[in-house]
Amino acid sequence: MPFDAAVVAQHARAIETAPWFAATGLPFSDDERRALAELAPRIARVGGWAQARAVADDARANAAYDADAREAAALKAQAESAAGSPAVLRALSAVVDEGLPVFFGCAEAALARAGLHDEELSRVAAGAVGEAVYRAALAAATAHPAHRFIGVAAAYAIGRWPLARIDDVLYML
Amino acid sequence: METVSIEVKTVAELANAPAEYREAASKIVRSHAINELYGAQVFDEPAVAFAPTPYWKWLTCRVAMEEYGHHQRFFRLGQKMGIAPETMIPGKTDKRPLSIFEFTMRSWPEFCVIKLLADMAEIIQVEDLMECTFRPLRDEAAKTMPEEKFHAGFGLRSCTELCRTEDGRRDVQAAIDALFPGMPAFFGQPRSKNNALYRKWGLKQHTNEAMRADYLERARVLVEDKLGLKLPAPA
Repeated sequence: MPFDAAVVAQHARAIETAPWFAATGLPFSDDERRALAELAPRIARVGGWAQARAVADDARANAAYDADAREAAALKAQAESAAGSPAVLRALSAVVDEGLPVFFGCAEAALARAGLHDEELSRVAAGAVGEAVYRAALAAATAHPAHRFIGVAAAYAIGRWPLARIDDVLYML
Repeated sequence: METVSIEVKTVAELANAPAEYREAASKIVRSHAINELYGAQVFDEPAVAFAPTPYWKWLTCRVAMEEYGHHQRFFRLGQKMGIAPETMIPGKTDKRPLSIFEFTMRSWPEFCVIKLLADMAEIIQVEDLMECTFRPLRDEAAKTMPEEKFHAGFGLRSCTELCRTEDGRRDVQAAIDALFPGMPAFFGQPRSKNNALYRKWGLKQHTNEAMRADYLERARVLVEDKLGLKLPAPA
C-alpha cells in the first residue's frame, strides 16, 4: 500500500479555508441530510453545546471510538511500512501545524456565536476535528478514497461536529 | 555572583553577544525543544487511549497537539539561532530528556496527576523565562504560558473529578505517591554551574533551589489544600 505525502499536504492546505463548526446548532439542510446519511444508519441532531458536551462524554460512545482508533493505527502502520516512520510523521505533522491555531479559533468563534465562552469545550472540539482531519489525510494518502474517515472529516468541513456514535445512531451538532 | 547587564532583542543581535551567552541561550532552547516533544510522545499521545470518554480523549488529543506546538516554537527559534535541528529532537541527539519522563504511565489517573504536577513544574520554568534577557526566548515563553496554565488546570479539574469517588481518590493518591518523589529533580542539581551561568547573563532569574522550593509549596497547595490528599516527601 503506497503512502502519498502530497495528498496529506493537500489536506493540510485545505484546513485554513473550511467553515469549521459554522453550522453547529442549525437544522440540517436537505443536502446535509443526504451527505450525512452515508455515515450511519441514523443521524440525530444535537441542538446545542451543553448537550454536545454530555453526548461526547457518554461512555457508550467508546466502542465506536475505539474501533476508529484501531483502524487509524492500522492505516498508520500501512503508511509507515510503505514510506518509513520519519516520512509519515513529517507529512502528518503538517496537519497538526496547520490545524493548531485554526481549529481552536473556529471552535471558540462558534461557541461565542452561541453566547458561550468555554476554553475546555473549545479545546475538545478542536481536538476532535484535528483528529478527524489527521485520520482522513492518513486514509486518503494510503489510497483509501472512500474510507469512512474521509466522510467524517467532510462532515466537519461543512461546519458540523460528529460527536459520538452509539449503536446505530450518530449524534451530530 | 557576578551578573552582566545585557539585553538581546533579536536573533540577529545574538551573533554579537558573547560566546558564553550564545551557548547558554542555545542550551535552554535545545532543552525546551527536546522535552516538550518527548513529553508529548511519552505522556500526552498515549494518554488518549486511557481517557474515559471521547470528550476526554479529544481534550487530551488537543493537549498533545499543543505540547507538540510548544516543541515547534522552541525548535523554530533554535533553527533561527543556528542550532542543528537533530540536536533538538529526542532520539536523534545524545542529550537525554528530563528524568521525569522515565516515569512509566499506566493509567488515566496517572496522566491526570502528570498534568497536575509536571505541568506545574513546567509553568515555574517558563515563568522564569518571562524575564529572560534574550527577548525572542522571552516572547516564546509568553506565548506558551497560557496553554501551560490550561494544561495544569486540566490536571486539577480531572483529578478533582476523579476524587469524587473513593476509588478515584485512592487512584489519584497512588499516582501522586508514585510520581511526586521524583518531581523535584526536574529543577536540576543544587549549586548547578549551568544555572549559575544562566543567572549571570539574566537568561534565568532564580536558582534551582529557589524554583524547587516554590514548586514544593505550589504542589502542596494543589494536593493538600485543593484535593485534600497527602503530598509525599520528595526523594
